[in-house]
Amino acid sequence: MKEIILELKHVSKKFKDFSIEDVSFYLPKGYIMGFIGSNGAGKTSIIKLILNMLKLDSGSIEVFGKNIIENNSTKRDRIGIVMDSSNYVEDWTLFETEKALKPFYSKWDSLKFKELLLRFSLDEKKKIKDLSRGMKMKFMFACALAHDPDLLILDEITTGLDAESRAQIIEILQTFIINEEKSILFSTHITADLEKIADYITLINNGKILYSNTKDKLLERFVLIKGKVKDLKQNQKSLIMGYNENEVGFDGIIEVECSSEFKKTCLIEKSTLDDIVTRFKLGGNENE
Amino acid sequence: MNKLMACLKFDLRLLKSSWKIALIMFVVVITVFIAFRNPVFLIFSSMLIATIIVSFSFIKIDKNNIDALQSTLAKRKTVLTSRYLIAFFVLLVTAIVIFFLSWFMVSVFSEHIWLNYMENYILGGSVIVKLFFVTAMMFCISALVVAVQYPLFFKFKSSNIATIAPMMIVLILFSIYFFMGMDSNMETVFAMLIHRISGAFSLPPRERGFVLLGFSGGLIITGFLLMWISTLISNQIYKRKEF
Repeated sequence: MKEIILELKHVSKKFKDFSIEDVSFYLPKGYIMGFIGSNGAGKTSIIKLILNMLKLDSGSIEVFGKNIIENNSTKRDRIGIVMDSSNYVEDWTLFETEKALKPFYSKWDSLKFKELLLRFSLDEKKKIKDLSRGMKMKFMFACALAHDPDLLILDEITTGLDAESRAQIIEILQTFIINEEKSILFSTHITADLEKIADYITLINNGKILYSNTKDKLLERFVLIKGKVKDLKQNQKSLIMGYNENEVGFDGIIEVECSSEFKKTCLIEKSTLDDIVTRFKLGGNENE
Repeated sequence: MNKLMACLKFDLRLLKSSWKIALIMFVVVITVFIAFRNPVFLIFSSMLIATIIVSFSFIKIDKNNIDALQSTLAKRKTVLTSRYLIAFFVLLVTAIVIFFLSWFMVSVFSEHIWLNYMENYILGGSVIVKLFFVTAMMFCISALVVAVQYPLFFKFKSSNIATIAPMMIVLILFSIYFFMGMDSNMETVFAMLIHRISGAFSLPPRERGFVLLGFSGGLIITGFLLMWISTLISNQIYKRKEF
């Protein structure tokens, strides 16, 4: 039985114009979970609930096997966090920020921190306010890794980064996870990043979980289908998720087990994570 | 304990950037003191600066969303305790420093010091006792301002500071009225009050200084109690806060 690092059970939270409803998923030790959803789907809110920045209406969240409400002090030292916006003091230099954060962590490694700054070409004399969004993300990432966390929670870390920086971060994450003792919850809407590294995928839309299981199972379950609209029977159309018509025909995804009845008239290809995610958002399986 | 120390260091760093402003304001206060030779003004202004400086950190906290960061670093109660300890520490240190500084200045400018009006009403007690009393009173008022402000800061964003600041200023101006009045023949409420309190003990004039000293101790304890009660209120607010 795999050790569960993070588990959400029937988590619900109401906001003024949005709600998170009955969210359940788990992340085993040693794996990377891609947490995918469009902007406003509820990713950041769920991360904030995990970090106890928002209060639960119902359900429970366990981190390292302990309830976050009852044991919220034990987890902080073991979690590395990169939120989608910087919460550091804008007037402080990177050096000053390190000095301020260091005392909070028992395993803070200044040498590792400096190495990461060097790798990201960040000057520790620079002020936070003088960094671009991408540089801020890199700096937060360096802070999150400097105390050797067991769980990394990354919220849209690659958004706004150039391809080279994204590749750099993916490479670091791959190294981070290598000994199978660490876990990562990686929230993003850029699926290309997850295609390479994610073991588990959780899809969220409008505060509801559409899918949460391994990436392989997700990719094995769906195939991409393309064809002429005239070749499509009405009953077949209902089997296609994220059905999309264009000038040359139609496309969408279908479950592998349904693919046999399309084989003669349509083109069936292996789907990518992006194909699936895009189709889910276009009105896919809400009852997963 | 380690997390509390970490929070204290963090909050001190936040305050550090306000020290330059505090220093400039303090130099102005000293200059005004030298010009007018009024130790009460020196004590009052210094405590006002200290009160403003501890409030400044909340503007920074809101501006940079530090609450959200600190909630991932330490327990909320620890964060809150640290902020109150810093405020208490700043007020106390300012009060101690300014008490000795005003005493020193009174000694230097002894022939021209504007303390005579107090002599009319507060009978007995040496200059040092009077200065101690004024410092204790200002510490208590500053503690009251912090005690009122902090729960509001924990509840609302610092953009609402605009509504709190005038209240703070009114309190301080009220204290000026108590202490200084308008001219050397002033019959302020405060002076009358002290006169009656010291008179009520029917003690010889010199021994009334001890009454004043006891009254000063009471003010310091009251300031401490006000901040402690404020901590309890803020804790109830802050533990429910969402970031």
